[in-house]
Amino acid sequence: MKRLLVIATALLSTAPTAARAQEYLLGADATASSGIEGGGTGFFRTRTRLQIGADLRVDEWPDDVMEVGLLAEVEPRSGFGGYLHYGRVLDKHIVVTAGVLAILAPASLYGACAGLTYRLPLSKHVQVVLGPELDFYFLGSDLPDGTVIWQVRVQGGFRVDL
Amino acid sequence: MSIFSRWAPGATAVGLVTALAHCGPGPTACLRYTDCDPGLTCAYGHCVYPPVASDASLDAPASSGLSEASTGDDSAPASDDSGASGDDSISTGDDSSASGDDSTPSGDDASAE
Repeated sequence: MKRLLVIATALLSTAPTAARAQEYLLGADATASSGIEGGGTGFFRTRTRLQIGADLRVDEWPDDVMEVGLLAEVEPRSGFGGYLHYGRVLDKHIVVTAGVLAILAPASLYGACAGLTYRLPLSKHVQVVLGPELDFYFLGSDLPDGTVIWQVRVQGGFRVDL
Repeated sequence: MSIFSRWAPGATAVGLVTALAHCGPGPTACLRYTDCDPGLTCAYGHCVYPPVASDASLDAPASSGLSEASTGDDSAPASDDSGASGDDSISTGDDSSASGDDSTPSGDDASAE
């Protein structure tokens, strides 16, 4: 009897606990942005841009965020493209991002961007997002030779935890 | 914290963007090729007619071959250049003047005539 107790105790102590799979945390956002831009010939207002995107986190590293999305320039000229950002949650409400973005139509434009986003909670799963973004375009068929376009944008919109 | 104080930064940002909307590039200022109307190209920050290799350009070697876009009269980009004695040509020294006043491009054209 004593031997059986020892075996049962050993089995229980070595029994594998239920493995918990990584959980993916999804979010989606829609924003609009505009600002100023330049490239050596003065300052202009940027094209107004609309973006829809999704962000993905893993619960084991909830402060690291990957964001991907589509963007559309809507006025005064139109254009379509996308972006890929890495984000780092600095605070409960502040996320800093850096990544690449591209305009693919009607002509190409490739560049890098960095931004800071403040998330103002409206409810448990919905936030207002607001913050500046700095973009640089340095490649593409839409860029005159020797020109680097910089943009300082202010973007605002909504984000939802899915 | 009141709702007004929480929304103040956002309202300020929206106001700034709205104010900036009034200093956008005019129809002849550009940073990208697609800033210009079809048929024009972007050179030195201005929308210009693309250079054409023709006999007229050989007769006038002082002209750069780029003529700033005029408004309305799309049918006479090359012929007007020969009579303008280079006044409409784009020089790099004047590029710093693209600061929003270009929204009234017809003013330059009127003086050229």
